[in-house]
Amino acid sequence: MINYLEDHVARFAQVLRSFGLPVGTSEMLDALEALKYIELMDKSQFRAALKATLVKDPVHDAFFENAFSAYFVDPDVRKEQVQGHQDHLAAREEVKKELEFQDTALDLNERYLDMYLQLPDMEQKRVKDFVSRTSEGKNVTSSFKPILEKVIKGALDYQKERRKELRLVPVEPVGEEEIDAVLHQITVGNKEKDLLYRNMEYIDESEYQEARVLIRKLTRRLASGISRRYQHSSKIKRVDLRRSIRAGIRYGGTLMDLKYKQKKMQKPEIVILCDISGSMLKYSQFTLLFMQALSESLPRINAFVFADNLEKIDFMGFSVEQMTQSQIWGEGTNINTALKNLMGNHYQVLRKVSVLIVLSDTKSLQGEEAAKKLKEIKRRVKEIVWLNPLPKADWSRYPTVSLFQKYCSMRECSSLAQLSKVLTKHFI
Amino acid sequence: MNRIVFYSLSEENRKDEIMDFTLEQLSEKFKEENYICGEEILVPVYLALQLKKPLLIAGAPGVGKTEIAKVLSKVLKTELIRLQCYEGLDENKALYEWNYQKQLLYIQANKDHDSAVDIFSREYILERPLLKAIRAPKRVVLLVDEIDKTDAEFEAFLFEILSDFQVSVPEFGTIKANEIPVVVLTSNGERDLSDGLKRRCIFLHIGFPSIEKEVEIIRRKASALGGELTWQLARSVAYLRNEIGLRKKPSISETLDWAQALLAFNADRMTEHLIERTMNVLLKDQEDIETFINKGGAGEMLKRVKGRGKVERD
Ligand SMILES: Nc1ncnc2c1ncn2[C@@H]1O[C@H](COP(=O)(O)OP(=O)(O)OP(=O)(O)O)[C@@H](O)[C@H]1O
Ligand SMILES: [Mg+2]
Repeated sequence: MINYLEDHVARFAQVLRSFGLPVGTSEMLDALEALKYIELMDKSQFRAALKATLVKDPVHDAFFENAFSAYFVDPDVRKEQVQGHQDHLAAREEVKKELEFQDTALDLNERYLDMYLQLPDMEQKRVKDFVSRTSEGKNVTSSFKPILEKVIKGALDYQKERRKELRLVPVEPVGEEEIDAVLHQITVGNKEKDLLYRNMEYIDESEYQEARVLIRKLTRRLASGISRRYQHSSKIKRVDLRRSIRAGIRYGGTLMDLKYKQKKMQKPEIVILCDISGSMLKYSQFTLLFMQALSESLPRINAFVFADNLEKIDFMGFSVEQMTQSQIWGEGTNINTALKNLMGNHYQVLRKVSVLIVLSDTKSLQGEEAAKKLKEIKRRVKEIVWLNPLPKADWSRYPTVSLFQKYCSMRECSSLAQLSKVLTKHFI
Repeated sequence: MNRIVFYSLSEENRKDEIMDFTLEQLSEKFKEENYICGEEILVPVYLALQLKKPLLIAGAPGVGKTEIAKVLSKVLKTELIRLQCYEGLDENKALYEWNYQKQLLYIQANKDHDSAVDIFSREYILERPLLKAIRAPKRVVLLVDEIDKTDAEFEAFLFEILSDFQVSVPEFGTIKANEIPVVVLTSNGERDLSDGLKRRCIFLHIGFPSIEKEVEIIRRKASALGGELTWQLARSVAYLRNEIGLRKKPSISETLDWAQALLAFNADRMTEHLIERTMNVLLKDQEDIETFINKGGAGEMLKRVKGRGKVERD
């Protein structure tokens, strides 16, 4: 019995860990210990006991509930899950065969294969036909393959942008059939409603109000953390009575020489540049909303948006809706022009205490030039942090990433959870 | 199986006083103390007692975090020692302070002759909650309330104390607890607590109660309110919490305040006028008040919570 339980608790912990919950050995031992004191056959007690010992942060509650109901199921439901997962893997293999170029499969990773799988039949057919026509085309040599791959990826990316229902939570498979089936069930099979972990791109207009409330919560926590961390510089020094008395004993107990407790730190200033071209718009909207809320308690935030030029944002009267409407910029992204403009016209915001945050997928014209500007700015400011909404696994595909990484610390940032985590890490 | 055994050895080590409950009994006791909750709350509380680990309770203001510690001390028939945390709380105020006035008096009275009295001895110590809990002869409930208001430094210090319940006062050595206290920590989530502390604790996140539970709570704590009005009140609060996107959702204590306000107006039914006159008990943030009005105000709320009971306009 105990072995059986141990096994389940360990596997369940692994599922939670796959979603980034910090479940360690000590949590697992507590869970096993806890199970001794409850009615094992009572599912709600069982769930409560695991939750109390494995989950230590309320934001993980929703994940726990999802994972629990996907993991602890009857054997025949488990069979269905495994079947469902196998069907999915088989379907991926099918896709690979469908999308062959002169008898070799196109080099598409699992994300792209899943994207294709989620397209409506009509769209799938269009992609498929395009591939086969190209493959059979006259004068088409095998050197064409990489080009075709690029085109198909582009088309899939475009579809993903257009279709909000394509929600893919990337999880690394564990390599154990049953666990992977559970992971699959949790990611693909559910209606992920958790705004915090959702890719910001897929936050719907109808959910803006909820998102705003969530952002307020996150920023309140962050702001109080920042003010606590930096408060001591402005506060009146506190007398250390104990040290003072000790010193005073020599003078018959008169407090001659007051000793102080002290700390000193300077509050950071934030300069943020948000890319609002094409697919970056949503990320920038939410990030700016976040900054706007944060600016209520951290007044020294200077925000700019850019595409092929740069414009300063006034937080008073700023709203997401308004940004969607007034798209006055052209198509292209040019980080170089944006940085040049920043250094030329807003020189005064780049100070030794400022942290420059750039939000962009790095896809830009004049990358080399932009990197040079970054280098120069880096010397003036405390730090440059780059928020990149592209999945980290894909970064190597963009040469601009490594170019810019030389001068900044780059973080993956596509959900509100990641955004608040990055900021917490850098400022608290 | 399934029982808590408390051996509270008295100082002289004479007799074992045993208190033991099952989960069901704990549930009964909580009900007796008018704390209304289900297994999602009872199980973590019970486990913390069984595994002798601190219970860390998180949740929005006014959902009944502090109350759990109070109820526990009543259920266990023991003293509640409370350490209220705040910004700037330090070791001295939490553990012990030197009674420096007494020290000064002594030094000044004796400044002309050499005296050998040690002014850093027990006699000159002022016990603060943590030391009090450690020195208590009997098992106590130690409530560390709103731990998230302190800084990380203090949290680390507290973590040490919670590890072994002993402190060393340089002037006279180590003091160790007779009985490990039952520890309850509460947090409003203003700041993330350290992983170490979280790892040591059993965790309980309290959300807002269901309408049924809230009705039960109102019945217990504002029993003079009529049955139908009680339901409407609970539904109204649920509407405010879940449907209009407020910045600060009304808490259970605000529900109870509202119940009292309605009683003060001698209300027996919900009306728009009554809601408008008492709304300030529930919504305190200007922006929230505007949100409420923009979403249709009292009229809309009344429409939404209309049950089988009588709801009339005036
Ligand atoms: N489950 C419950 N049953 C009965 N009464 C409750 C319950 N939950 C809360 N209350 C009542 O609500 C009031 C507020 O509870 P409490 O002070 O414990 O909240 P809290 O979570 O500690 O809030 P804060 O974060 O503001 O300190 C208490 O007076 C308590 O009587
Ligand atoms: Mg409280």
